Amino acid sequence: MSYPLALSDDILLRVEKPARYIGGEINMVKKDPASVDVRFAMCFPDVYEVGMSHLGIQILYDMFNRREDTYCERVYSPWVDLDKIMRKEHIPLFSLETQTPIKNFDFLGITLQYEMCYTNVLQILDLAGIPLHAEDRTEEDPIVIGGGPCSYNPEPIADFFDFFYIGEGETVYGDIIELYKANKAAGGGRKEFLRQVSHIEGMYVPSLYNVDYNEDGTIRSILPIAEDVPAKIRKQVVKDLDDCVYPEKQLLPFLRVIQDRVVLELQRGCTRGCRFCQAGMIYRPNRERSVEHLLSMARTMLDVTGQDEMNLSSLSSSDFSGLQEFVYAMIDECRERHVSLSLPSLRIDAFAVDVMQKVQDVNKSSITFAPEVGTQRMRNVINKGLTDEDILDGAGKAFNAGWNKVKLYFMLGLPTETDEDVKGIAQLGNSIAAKYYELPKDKRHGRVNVTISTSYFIAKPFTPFQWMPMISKEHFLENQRLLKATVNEQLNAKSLEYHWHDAETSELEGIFARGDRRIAPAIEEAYRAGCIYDAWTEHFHYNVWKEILDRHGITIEFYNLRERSKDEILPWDHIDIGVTKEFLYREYENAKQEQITPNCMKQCSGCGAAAFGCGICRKPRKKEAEE
Amino acid sequence: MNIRVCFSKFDRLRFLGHLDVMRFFQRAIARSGLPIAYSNGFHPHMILSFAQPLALSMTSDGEYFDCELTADSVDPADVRERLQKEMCDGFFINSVTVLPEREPNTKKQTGMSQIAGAMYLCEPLSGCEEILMQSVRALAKSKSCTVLKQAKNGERMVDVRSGIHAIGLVDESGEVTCLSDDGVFSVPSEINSGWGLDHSVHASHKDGQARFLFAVDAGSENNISAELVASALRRVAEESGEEPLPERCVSSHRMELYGMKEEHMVSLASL
Repeated sequence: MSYPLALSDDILLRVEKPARYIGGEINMVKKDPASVDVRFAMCFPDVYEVGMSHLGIQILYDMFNRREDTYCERVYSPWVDLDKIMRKEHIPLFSLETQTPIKNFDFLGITLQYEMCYTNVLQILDLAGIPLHAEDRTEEDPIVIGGGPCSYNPEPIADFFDFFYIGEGETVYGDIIELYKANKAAGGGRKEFLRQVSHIEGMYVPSLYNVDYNEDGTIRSILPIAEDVPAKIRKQVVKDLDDCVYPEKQLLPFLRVIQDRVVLELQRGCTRGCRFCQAGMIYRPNRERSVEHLLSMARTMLDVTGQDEMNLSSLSSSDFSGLQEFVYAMIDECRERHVSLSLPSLRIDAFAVDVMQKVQDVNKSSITFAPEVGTQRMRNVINKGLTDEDILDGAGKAFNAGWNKVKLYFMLGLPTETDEDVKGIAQLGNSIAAKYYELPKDKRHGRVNVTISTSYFIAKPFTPFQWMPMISKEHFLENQRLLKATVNEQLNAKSLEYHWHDAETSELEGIFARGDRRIAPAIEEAYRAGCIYDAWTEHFHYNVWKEILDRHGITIEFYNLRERSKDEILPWDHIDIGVTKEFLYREYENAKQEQITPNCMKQCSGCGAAAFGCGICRKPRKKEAEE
Repeated sequence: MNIRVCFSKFDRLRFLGHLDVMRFFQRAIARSGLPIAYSNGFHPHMILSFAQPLALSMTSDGEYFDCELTADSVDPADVRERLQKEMCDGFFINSVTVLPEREPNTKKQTGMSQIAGAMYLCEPLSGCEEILMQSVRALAKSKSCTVLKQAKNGERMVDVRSGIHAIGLVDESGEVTCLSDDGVFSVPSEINSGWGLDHSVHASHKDGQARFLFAVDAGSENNISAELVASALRRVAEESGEEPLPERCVSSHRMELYGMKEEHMVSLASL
C-alpha cells in the first residue's frame, strides 16, 4: 500500500532534503488505517534526522504496531523552509506512513527530550490544526500526550498537554489503549477518558491539579481537584529489561541521520549518583540486560538493517558488568560483517585500550574523558567518582598505545565553584599534555592535542542541585575568560585548545528546567513571535525571548539565581520518581560539605528507588572491605 | 567477479538523492548476504560503482551499479531475487548481468565510464502542454540550440541540439513517431510496459496527454541531461515569441542508459 504524498512535487523540490517528508523507509510498518481502532501519531519535535536517531521512538513504534488494533505512525517537525510553505498554503501537518493529517488521529504522543524543543511542540500542534491549549480541544482533536525526560517537570508546558506519561513507555500504554477503546464504546468523551487515565499509575493529567502561589512567587500548593485523582504521580519502571519489547525491525532511514547506526541499549539507569545529573536520578534503579539477550538483539538488528556501525548506549557503559564479555564476543563478528563497533566513552583501563586498539584507528580517533571539573574538591562536591590519577593514568595508557588526541569535557558554574576550580581545569589539561611528553621521543607521534570543552551548568529537577543557584551569564563569561587566560599561561599551552558552549540558550534552559506553569504564556508568545528550533543556535533569538520573559515578569533571579529553601514546594513535587526528596536533600548537604556518597554497586545509600524492587537494588553488594 | 545491476527508481523515492540511494543499496546488499567484496584498509568499504546520478523528482528504469563479488560464479537470477527481497516500494531490480572478466593489463571499466547515451520520456506539466509540444517540434527541426550549462567548473555555452540523436512524439496508445533520428540509437516504435513503465510516474499519465522522448549523448564527455534539454525547449519557446515556459515544465523519466558498441548505442545491461 502506498499513499499519495501530502506535498506536491513543486513543494518537495523547493525544500531542503525532501526525503524528510516521504516516509517509505525500510521496516516502516504498513497497515490499513481503516482496519484499526486506534491511530497513534508518534512525534519527536525536531527535524527528521534528529528524531529518527532516537531509540525511544523506535521502541514505542514497534510496541504499538505489534497490536492489531493500533496503527502507530511518525511525524517530525517540518524544517523552517517547509514550515513557511505549510503556513502560507494551509497544508495540515501529516504523518509519514499514510501521509494523512495528524488531526485525524486518536492520539498525538510527543517525546520531550530537551527543554529547548518547547516552541517546536507548539509548532507541531499549530500546523496540525490542534488548539494549543488542552482546555480548548474538542472531541475532534487527538489526545495529546507528553513523555520523555522533560515530562518529569512538565509544568512550563502543562497547559498544552492532555496528559503526561511519567516514566518508561513499555509498561502501561496497552492499558491506556484499552481504556480509550472502552470509553469510546461506552459513549464517553475526552473528559471522561482523561479522568480515568489519571487513575493509571504514572499518568499525570495537569488539568486535574490546581497550583496556588505565595506572595513571594513560590508555590503554596499543588493539589488534585478531586479525591479520586492521586496526589502523587509515580513513574513507570520496566522491571526486567530482558523481558520487554525491543525493536528488532528497526526503521532504517534513507537520509543520513545523526545516529546512523544500530543502537544497542546495554542498561538503564546509572549507579554513580553524580549530583548534577538528572538522568542518573530519574532512571534509577540501574537495570542491566543479560549478555545473552544483548548478543541476540545485536545480531538480529544487524541482519534486518544491514547497518555498518553499531553503537552501545547507556549512561555509563564502563559500569555495565557484562561489557567485557559482550564486547569480546562481538568484536570478531563485527569485523567479519564489516561492521564498526563504536564504544561510548569508557573509563580508560587495560580492557578499554585493548578494545579501542581493535576497533578504532589510533591515528585518527581521540580518547575522551569527562572529568566535569578541574579540582578534587569540586569532584567531591559533584560526587564524580573519578580522580586526577585515574585520568592521568588512563591518558598515559592511551598515549602508550599510540593515541595523541584527548578530548576533555567540563562544566562551568557548578555550585561552590571558585576561581581556583576554574584554573584547575586548565592545569588538568596541562598535566595530561605533560604526561604525553614523558613518553620517550620515539614512542610519540608528533604533538599531543588536548581539547578542553566547557558547558554551562544547568540545575535540573530531581537532582541534589535542584535547590542550588546557577551563576549569571555575566559570571559565566568571566569564568570563561579566566579559563581561556589560564590555558594560555600553561607550559603546554600550544598543545591545549579551548572550546566553549554558548550561555544564552543555557539561561533559558535553566528557566524551563525548574519552571512552573507561569512560564507557559511566555513560551506561547515566543512561538507567536516566530521562535522555533530554539535548540539550533542559528535559529535561537535570545533578544526576542529576553524581551518576552521580561514582559511576563519571568526573571533569571527567581528561576535561576536564587537558592531554594528546604521547605519550599518545588513545581515538580507531585511527581514521584522513587528517589525521595529527603535523599536528594541529604545529597545536597553532602555536596556542600564536599562529602562523597558511594556508588550503588558498593553500597546502598537508601535513595528510595529500592521501592521498585528491581535491578541493582536487589543485587548483593560488594563489601566495602573488599575494595 | 563483477556483476552489473539494473534497477528502477519510482514513486515517492524519486525524491531520494544520489548519496542516499547509494547508502540504501550498501545496506540492502549487507542484508541480502551476497558475497560482496570489500576494499582493503582500516575502514573497508563495499566495492560498488554507481552509474549516473538522477536528478531529484525524476523516475527511472535505467539505473545501474556495478559491484565486485568474492564468489567465482553466481546465478544472476538468484542474485536478482535476493536483492529484490531487500527492496522497498519505489525500487525494483530489473536485471543482474555477469560482466566479462577483464583482460589482463587493461583498465577497469565501470558502468560510469562506459556511459555514452541516455533516453528520456517526458510529459509536459499541466499548463505547458501546447507551447512545450510546439517547442519539441521546433527543436527537432532546428540545426542548433545553444544554452548555458552550469557545471562544477563554471558555466559554459553548449549546443544541446547536436547532442540529441533522436526526438519522437509518443501518442496516447504509446506509439512513437520520430521527428528526427540519426540512427545511432534504436528508438522503439512503441512505448509500453515492456519498458518497465508500470512502476514509473508515467504509468498513470493523463489520458490524451501527448508525450515525447529523446535520445542524447551522456557520460563524462558530452553529457546532455534532461534538464538541459528542458532549458533548450524553454529557449526555443522564448525565441518563437511564445509566453515563457516555467522553470519546471516537464516531468521526465529516464528509460535507459547506453554504452557505445560498434558505433551504435546498446543498453548498459547488454553491453
